[in-house]
Amino acid sequence: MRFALAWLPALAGLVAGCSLLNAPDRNLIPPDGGVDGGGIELFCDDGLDDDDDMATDCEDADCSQEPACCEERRTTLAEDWTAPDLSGGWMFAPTAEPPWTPARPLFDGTTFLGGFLPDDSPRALVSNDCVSLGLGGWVDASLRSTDATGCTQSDLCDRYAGVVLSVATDSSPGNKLQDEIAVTLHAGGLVLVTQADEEIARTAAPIDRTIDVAIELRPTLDDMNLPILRATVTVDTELILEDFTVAPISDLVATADCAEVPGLHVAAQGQGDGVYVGPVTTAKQDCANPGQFDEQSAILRSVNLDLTPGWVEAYVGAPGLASSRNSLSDVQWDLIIEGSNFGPELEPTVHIGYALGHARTSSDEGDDWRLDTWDGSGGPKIGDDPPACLDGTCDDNRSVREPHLLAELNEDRELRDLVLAFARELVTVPSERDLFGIQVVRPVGSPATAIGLPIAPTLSPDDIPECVSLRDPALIPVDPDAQEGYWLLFTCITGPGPSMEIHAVRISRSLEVVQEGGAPLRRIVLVASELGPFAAAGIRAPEPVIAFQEDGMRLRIWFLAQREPGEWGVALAEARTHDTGMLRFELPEPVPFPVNPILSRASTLVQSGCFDEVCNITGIAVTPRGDDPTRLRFLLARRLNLPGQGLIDQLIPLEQTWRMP
Amino acid sequence: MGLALAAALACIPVGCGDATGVGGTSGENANDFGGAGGSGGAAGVEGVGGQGGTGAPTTADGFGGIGSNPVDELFADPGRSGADPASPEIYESDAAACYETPQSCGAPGCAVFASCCVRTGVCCLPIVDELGLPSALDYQQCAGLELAACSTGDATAAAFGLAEPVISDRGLVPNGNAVVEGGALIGAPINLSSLRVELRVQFTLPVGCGSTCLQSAGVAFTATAPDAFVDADVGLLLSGSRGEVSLMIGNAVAASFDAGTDSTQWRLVLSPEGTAEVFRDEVSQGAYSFDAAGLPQAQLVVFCRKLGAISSSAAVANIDVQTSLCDNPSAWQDRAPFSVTFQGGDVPGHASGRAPSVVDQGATRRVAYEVDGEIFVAAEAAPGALVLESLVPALVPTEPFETNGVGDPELVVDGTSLLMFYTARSDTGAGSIGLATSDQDPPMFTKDLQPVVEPGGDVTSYDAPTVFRRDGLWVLIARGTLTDGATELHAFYTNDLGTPWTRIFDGGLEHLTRTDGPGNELTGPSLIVHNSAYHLYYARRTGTRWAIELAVSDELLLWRPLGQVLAGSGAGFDSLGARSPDAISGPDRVDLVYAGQNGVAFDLGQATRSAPSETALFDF
Repeated sequence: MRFALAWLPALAGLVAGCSLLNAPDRNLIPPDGGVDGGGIELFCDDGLDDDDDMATDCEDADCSQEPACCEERRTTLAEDWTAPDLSGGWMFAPTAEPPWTPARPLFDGTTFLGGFLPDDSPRALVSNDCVSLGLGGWVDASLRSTDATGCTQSDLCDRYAGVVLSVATDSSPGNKLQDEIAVTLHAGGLVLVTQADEEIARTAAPIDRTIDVAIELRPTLDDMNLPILRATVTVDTELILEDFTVAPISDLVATADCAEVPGLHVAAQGQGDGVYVGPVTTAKQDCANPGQFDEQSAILRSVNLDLTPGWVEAYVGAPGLASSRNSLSDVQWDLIIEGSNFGPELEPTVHIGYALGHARTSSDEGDDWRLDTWDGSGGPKIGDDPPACLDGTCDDNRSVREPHLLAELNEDRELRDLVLAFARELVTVPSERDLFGIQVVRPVGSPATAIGLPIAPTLSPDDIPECVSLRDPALIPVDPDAQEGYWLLFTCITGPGPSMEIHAVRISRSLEVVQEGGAPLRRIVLVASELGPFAAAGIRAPEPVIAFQEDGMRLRIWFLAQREPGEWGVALAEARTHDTGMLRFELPEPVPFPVNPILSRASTLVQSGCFDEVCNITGIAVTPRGDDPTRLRFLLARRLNLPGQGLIDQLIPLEQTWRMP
Repeated sequence: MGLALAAALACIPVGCGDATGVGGTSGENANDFGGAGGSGGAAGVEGVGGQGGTGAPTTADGFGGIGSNPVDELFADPGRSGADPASPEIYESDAAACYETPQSCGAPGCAVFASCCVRTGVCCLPIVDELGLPSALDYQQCAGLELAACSTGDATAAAFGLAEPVISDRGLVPNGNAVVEGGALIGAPINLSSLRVELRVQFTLPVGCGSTCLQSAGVAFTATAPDAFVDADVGLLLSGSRGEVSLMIGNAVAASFDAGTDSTQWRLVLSPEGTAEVFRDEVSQGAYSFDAAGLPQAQLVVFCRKLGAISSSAAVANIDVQTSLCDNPSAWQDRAPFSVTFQGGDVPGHASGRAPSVVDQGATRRVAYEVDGEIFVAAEAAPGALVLESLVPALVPTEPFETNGVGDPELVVDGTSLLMFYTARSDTGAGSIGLATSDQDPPMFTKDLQPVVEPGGDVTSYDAPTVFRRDGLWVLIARGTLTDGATELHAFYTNDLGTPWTRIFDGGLEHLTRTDGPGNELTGPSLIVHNSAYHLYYARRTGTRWAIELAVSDELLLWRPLGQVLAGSGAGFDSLGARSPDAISGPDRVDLVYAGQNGVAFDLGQATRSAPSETALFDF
C-alpha cells in the first residue's frame, strides 16, 4: 500500500519552491526527487507527472493505493428496498411523527422507494449504521421522477427525492435532514447538489428515466493541514461537482460503526409523490487504513517476560521489537524494554534511572506468541540494578532507555544480526541529569548476554549543537543488507518542555558517525509545527520501517505526537523513492498521513479497561513479521491505573497487513 | 459565581478616576439594547431603492473611513479619552498596528483603543475575596499550627494524602512520599478561562538534598481531585534534587528554572487566554501556553512528596493569590436550552423558534423569536423558561412589503417604549427592515407603514437587523445581499428615529463580513456596547456547522476580528454548533441567547460569561 505523498495537495507547491509544509530548508531530498525519470509519482493529486513516465497522478500505478486514487471498494451498505420490513436497517424520520409508509414501485425490474407522504414535511429513511467514509468511499444511488406536473427542469419543486449524507439520524418535522452533502432530483427534472440545503451544483435530468448518481469521497489535507473530506458528484456520467469540501474529518461521526473510521449516515429523503430513490450502495476504500489494527490476544506484562521483578517493579515501557525466522523455521521475537523500580511520574520531582531488559520467544508461523514462553534476561541486560534510588546512593548511576531493535536478516529471513540502539545518560558531574546521547551496539546476543556500556556514546549532544539531549533512537538501513550503514533517527531535545523535532544522523556499518563538512551528516526529518494540529504540542519516539522493493523503497515512520500536553497518540508519515541509492546520502521527506493520529489516547485500544484518567500511550514498536514481511507487528505500550493495582504497564500486540500495489 | 468585585475600579493600572460620572454611559445602556436575531437570508431580487442601497463602500483591506464619517458621534463611548480621530491617517495606522495580530493589541500604546480590552488580558478587574483563595498566606508564620488554623479570609484548606501536611518554620510541608502525594486543596475552584490569576510563591529549599533525593513542593491548579498523583494542570514545582523550579503544564514539565535560594520570589501569571508567564524575582522567565479553556473549575493545590525529616524538607514558605476578571469572549458558561410554555404547557415548535432577540426591561426580560413567518414575544419567567402571555403572534405580515412573512426580530428599549425592528419579506423574496413599537405591557406592537431601511442600488435585500441605542445615537447593522449573490453586513446610524438612516461608508465591516460562496454564510449580527467598545457578534456557517464569531470596534469603522467565540459544545442542544446570537451587556457580564444546532434542529438557548464592563473608561 502506498499513500503518503498524495495526502498533501499543498505540497505540490514544493516543486515551485513554495512549500506550506515540511519546509525545504531541512535539506532532505525534496519530494520531487524522482522527476528526472526512474522516479516515482510522488504526489497523486497535483496534476503533475512527477516521475516523467507519461502517467499523471492517478493514471500512474504508483498511486493506485493512495487515498486520492484508490479504486478498491469494500461494500459497507447495499439496499435494494425489497425487504418487507425496512425498519431493521433504517430509521423513519422525522421520528417525532408516526412512521410513514414508503411506496416501493418497480421500474425496469428494480424496486424504488417513494411516497414520502403526507407531503407536509420532508421524510426520510436514515441508515441505522454509520457508513465509514473518512478514509475515502463511494455512495451510489439511482433516482427517478415519473411525474413532472407543475414543475420544470430549472426550478425547485415541492416534490423531490434524493440521497443524503448526514451526521444526524433524525430531522425535525417540517425540516430536511442536515445534509453534509445531498443529491436531490426534483419532480421537474432538476438535480441539485446541496450542503446545508444550499445549492452547490445542478444539472437537468429526463423524466421517467432512471438516473444514476455517484458520490465519490476522498480525504485530503487543507491548507492548514487539517484533514478534510472532498466530494466529486457524477450524474449519469456527467461530472457536475469536483473536489468540493464536504467537512473536516473531525466533524464526521466517530462512534459505533464509525469508531475506527469516521463516517456519515446515508439517507433516502423526499417529499411528496412521483419522485423515487432506487437502490443505494455505499463502499469504503479498501486500500489504506493505517488506523485499523488486528488486535492480538496476548497482552504482555513484565511478569511474562522472565525479568527479575525488583528492577521493573514500578514501570516497563518503550519497547523495541524485532522478528526473524530461526533455524527451525519458527518465528523468533526479540523484545527489549526499559524498566525501573520507580515510576516515571516521579520525574518532575527527582531523577529516575532506567535499565534495559531483553526477552525472546518463538511462535509458529502465522501465530501469536504465548505469554509463558518468554526467555528473559532476568536482571537488566544493560544498566544498573536497581536502576533508580531515592536515598542518595545512586549518584553514579547511569540511565539507559528507549531501545530500538533492528533485525538484519538473510535471504531465508533468518537472523543475521541484531542491532540495538538506545539512549544513554551522559553525566559528567553528579548533579547533572537527563542529558542523553545515543548508543548503537552489535551484537546483541541472547537475552542472558549482558552488554556493557562502551566508554563513549555513538552520538553525543556535543555533536549536535541544536540539541541538548538526544532520545528515542531508531535505525533505518540505507540498503537491504545495511552494508553501507544506517540513518539513526532520534528525538532532538532542545530544553525543558516537549520535544518538537526528530532528526537523523548517518552512521556507517561500523557504527561510526558519518561526517559532512566537519559535522555529522544530519537531516531534520519531522518538525511538529509543520505536521498539523495533532502534533501541536510535540513529537517523539520515531519508529521506522523501510521496505526495499525492485522499483524503489518506501519508508514509513510511526511516531508519538500530542495535540495537548499529555495527549500522546500514534501518528504516521511516509516517504518513498525509486532512487534507493540516494539513501546513502539523503533521506526522502516523509509526509504525514491525512488522518493522524492513527491511534489516539481516546481510542478503545488505549482506554479499554482503564478506570482512571491515567491511561496513556508510553511507546510503540513496529517490525515486519519474520514469517510474512507484509504483516507488521506493533507493540503498543500503555500505562493505566487499575483499581487496587495502582499504575501498571501493558504491552499490547497488534498487527496490520500492508500490501503492495 | 458570586464575585465581589473591587469597587469603583480602584486598581485600574493607570490610576483611579470618577467612575460614577463616566460609567453611567455603559451602565445606563446595559438594559437598553439587544442584538439581532440571526436568520437565513431571503433570496434577493430587484430592490426598490432607499437609503441603504445608495452607493457602495470603498473599503480597502478592512481599514479606513475615519475621515469620511462623523466619528465623534459614532464612538461606542464618547466620554472615553481614546485615540484622537482628528488625524485620521494616524488613527487608522495605529489601529491597524494594534489589531494586526491577536497579541499586538496588548501593547501599551494600544490602550487608546477600548477594543483592545477584549481577549488580551488587560483591563482586568481585581476581585476581592469570596473566591476563598489566600492573599498573603505566610505558612512560616503559622509554624506549629494545624493546617485549618493557618488561613486568611475565607480561604479554606482540605488535606489529602496519607499523612497530614505539616506546618513548620520551613513553611507548609505537603508530606507525601514516593508512592502517594500529599498536600492540601486551598479555597474553592475558580474559572481560569475568565480570570487572570497571579500566584506568588516562595519555596523553602530542602537541606542536604543530593542528586537523587526525593524532596519537592508544588503549587498548582488542577481540574481533577488528587489521587496518588496530583495532576498539575498549571503550576510551579520545586525539585530539590534538580535544584530547579519547573513550570508544570498538563502535568508535564514545560520549562525549568534554577531554584535560587529560600528568598527567591516566584510569580506565575495565568491569563484567561491561556498564557502562563513565570517571573523569578520579578524577571520574566518566559510565557507558555496552557489550556485555560479546559480549566473552568480549577482547584488550587499545594502538593508534593518527601523522603526524610520534616526539618530538612522542601516546603512552601508562603503563597499569595490575586485574581482579576478579564474579558475572554470564549469563556461562556451555563449553556442551556430554553423551554417555551403557555399556561403551563409546552408550545409545539416554539423551542425551535428562529432568530431570538432578548431585551432586559428591568423587571422583565423578554425574548422575541420567529416561527413560520410570524414573531412571538415571551417573557423569561425563570432562567431558561420562556412563558408566552398569549398564543397570538406579536407581529404577523399585514403590509404589502411583508407579504412573504416577518422575522429576525430585534427588541430595543427606548424609554418606556419597546421597539421591534424586523425583517419584512416581500412577495419577491426581497427583505427590508421594518419597525414596530409598543407602549404597553405586555407589549402590543404597532407597525410603521413603511420599512425603515430598504434595499437599493447593488443591494437586493436586507435582513437580520441589529440595533444599538444610546443617547443621541441609533446604530443599525443588517445583512445585505448584493446583486452578485454575495452578502455582507452594512451599518447605518441616525440621531433621530424620525429621520432617515445614514449608511456608514468606507469602514471595514463589509470587508470583514463578506461571503460569496455556497459553502459558507454569515448572518445574525448582534451589536452591543460593552466596556466602552462595540461588540459585534455574528454567526458563520462553514459547511453545515454554525459558529458564533465576534469582532470589536471603538467607532464602527475599524474592526478587530476575534474569530469564533461560541461553537458546538459536543453535547446537548448545541452539540454541533450555534447561530443567531443576540447579546446584552450587563454589569461585568454578557448574556447571550442563540440557536443551538444539534443536527436535528436549532433550539433556543442561552449562555453567559463574566466580563468587566467598566475598566476601559480611560486609557488603560
